[in-house]
Amino acid sequence: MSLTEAETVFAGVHEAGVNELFKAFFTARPRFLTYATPGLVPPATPFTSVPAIAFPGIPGGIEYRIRFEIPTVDFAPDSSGGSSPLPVGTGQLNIRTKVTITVGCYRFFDDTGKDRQGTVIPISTSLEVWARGKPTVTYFSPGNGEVGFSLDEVEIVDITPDSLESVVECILRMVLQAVIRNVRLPFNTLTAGAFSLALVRGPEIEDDQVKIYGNA
Amino acid sequence: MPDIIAAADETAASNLIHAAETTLGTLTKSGSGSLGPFTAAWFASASFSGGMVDLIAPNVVRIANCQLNYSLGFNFSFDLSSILPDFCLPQICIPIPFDGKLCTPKICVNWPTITIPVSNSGVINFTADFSLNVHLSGSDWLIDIVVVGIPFLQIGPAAAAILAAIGLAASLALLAVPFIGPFLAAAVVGITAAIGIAGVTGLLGPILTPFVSGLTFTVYKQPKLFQVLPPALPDPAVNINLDAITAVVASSNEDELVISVDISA
Amino acid sequence: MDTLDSRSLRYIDCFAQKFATPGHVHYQISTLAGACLPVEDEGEFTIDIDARSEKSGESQQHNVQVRREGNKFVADPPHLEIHAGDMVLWNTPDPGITGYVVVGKGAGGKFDSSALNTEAVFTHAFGTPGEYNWVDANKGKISGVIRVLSLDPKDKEQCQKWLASLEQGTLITIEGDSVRPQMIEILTGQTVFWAVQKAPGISITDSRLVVK
Repeated sequence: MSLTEAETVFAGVHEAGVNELFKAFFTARPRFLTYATPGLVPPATPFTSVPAIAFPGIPGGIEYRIRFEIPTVDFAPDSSGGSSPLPVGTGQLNIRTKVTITVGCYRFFDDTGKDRQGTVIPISTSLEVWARGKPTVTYFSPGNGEVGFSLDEVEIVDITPDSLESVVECILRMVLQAVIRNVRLPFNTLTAGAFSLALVRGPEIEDDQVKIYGNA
Repeated sequence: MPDIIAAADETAASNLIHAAETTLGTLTKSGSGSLGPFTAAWFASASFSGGMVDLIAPNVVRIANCQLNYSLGFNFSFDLSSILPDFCLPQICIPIPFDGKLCTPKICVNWPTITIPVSNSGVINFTADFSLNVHLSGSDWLIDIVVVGIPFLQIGPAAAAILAAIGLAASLALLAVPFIGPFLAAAVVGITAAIGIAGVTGLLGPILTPFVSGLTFTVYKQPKLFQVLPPALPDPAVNINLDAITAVVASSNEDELVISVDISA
Repeated sequence: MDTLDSRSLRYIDCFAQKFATPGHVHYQISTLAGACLPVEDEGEFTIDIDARSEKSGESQQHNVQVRREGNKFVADPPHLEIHAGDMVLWNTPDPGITGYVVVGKGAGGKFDSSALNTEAVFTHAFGTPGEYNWVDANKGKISGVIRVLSLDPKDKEQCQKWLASLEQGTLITIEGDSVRPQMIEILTGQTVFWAVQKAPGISITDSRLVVK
């Protein structure tokens, strides 16, 4: 069977290629991996500034920082060797990353009872995050469009009780979706600049690739 | 498995190749050559267009009836005394008022050497196989299709048209020669006969053949450092490296031009 | 179009001058640029004119060929002995000569092929069809029109007719401001004679060649 099938042009990017694109994107624009409030700015690291969570009685609000490692993608069929808690089915993809959440814990008194004069003490945890989703497309005009990714579910292993896991998964799904939304792959990249592609079909996930079909 | 695979069927490949023909633009050459018994200084330009594309595995692109659009200008010098007879105005005697009569001497006409400028444009169709050639040129990746051998050019019809153009140009040039009037038609015939179709073919072949010998169309050109996303303040551009590229013609239920690319961040 | 200009003679032109006064004449041949230079008293080329007697017979025509030797014009023969009333005609067979002027003085006064005055003739063979409006480039009032018709003999008979026509010349007579006839029609290849009975030094020049 031909690559172009019923159309005249085809472009396919293997998951290894998409991972290189992710690496290129987040290396060039690292601020999309780290989000920090003014009280928890990371030293010598580009970041995106976010406001503290306002709460009555907490001076300056709740400070926090969220940092992701560069995500990696796995297109169907599943290449995780069974390690994915959200195995991908037909047309689906996994995104995997590690997130470090830091909260500025505001303490007035320490464990010995000493007055801390209101000090923010950062405390952190790191979590392995698995997400499952599908590709999206934004099509502007013949030859002009972008492939992106949307996440339907997130799984974090080993948080109890389950209700806490659900809350954290929800928060991380929202945050990770917002991060991934910045990663756009123009059609021109999917074709490596070989030709213009007027989209007819796709994007489709198959054979460890994201595929688009169209006419030149 | 390559990181990126881009494939085009014969319809899309045709578009690519026709665009490459346009990108090649107009080529020009000049020189001098034999036009029958004469030497002609010439200037020629050529461009390419059209043709039906046939992809042939593993690496051949055949273009059938590709059009070579040529424009040719040349001039040559012709000594009219070689084809026109010696001609003299006879002595003329007439009576004049203040003398009996006055007689002019016989005046023999000088047939000059004239320069005849000729221009002609036309189209010659040819069919040729091209092979795929992927290579780095400086910091750019190129995929070229390079003609195999020297395509045969059907020059005959063009030669006939050019011989007709020579006749027309000769007529125009001869009009300025004094006393040519009664001899003009015969002079044009004499000039075109001296050159003949063979003379024009002998000039045209060496002019046009170099345009197709080594003919190369570039169907892909991208920098090794490929921009994925442009800068968007405050963020810089996002680039990837095109580390390796291959291009083949793959044959399954249809023939396709397949470009495979390995990339790195 | 032909170059019609009596100021600068070529191989398809002739200049003739009648010498009515006995005596000695010397002349020189130069380009038009040299025509304004004075004729040297010891001119290179000479004409000795004897008084005409009954023995002399009718007036005769003497032909002088103008040729180029190196940078100089030469007259062949360089010396003539004629009778009063004879005409001398200058012509060149050399198509390479791009223009010459005959200027002289002596018995009977000055004569100048670029400024025709008394009893002088200029002839021109027309090789290219067209309409020629001729004027006096020396600022005189005279003018005229020559229509040269093109021809394309279709057969031998027409060709023979045309060849026969070449033996016929057409005469234009100029006296003072009078030009007769003012307009003529000829075939390509035919010759026109301008006979200047009396004039203040005129030229026969295509109006397009006259700098305004």
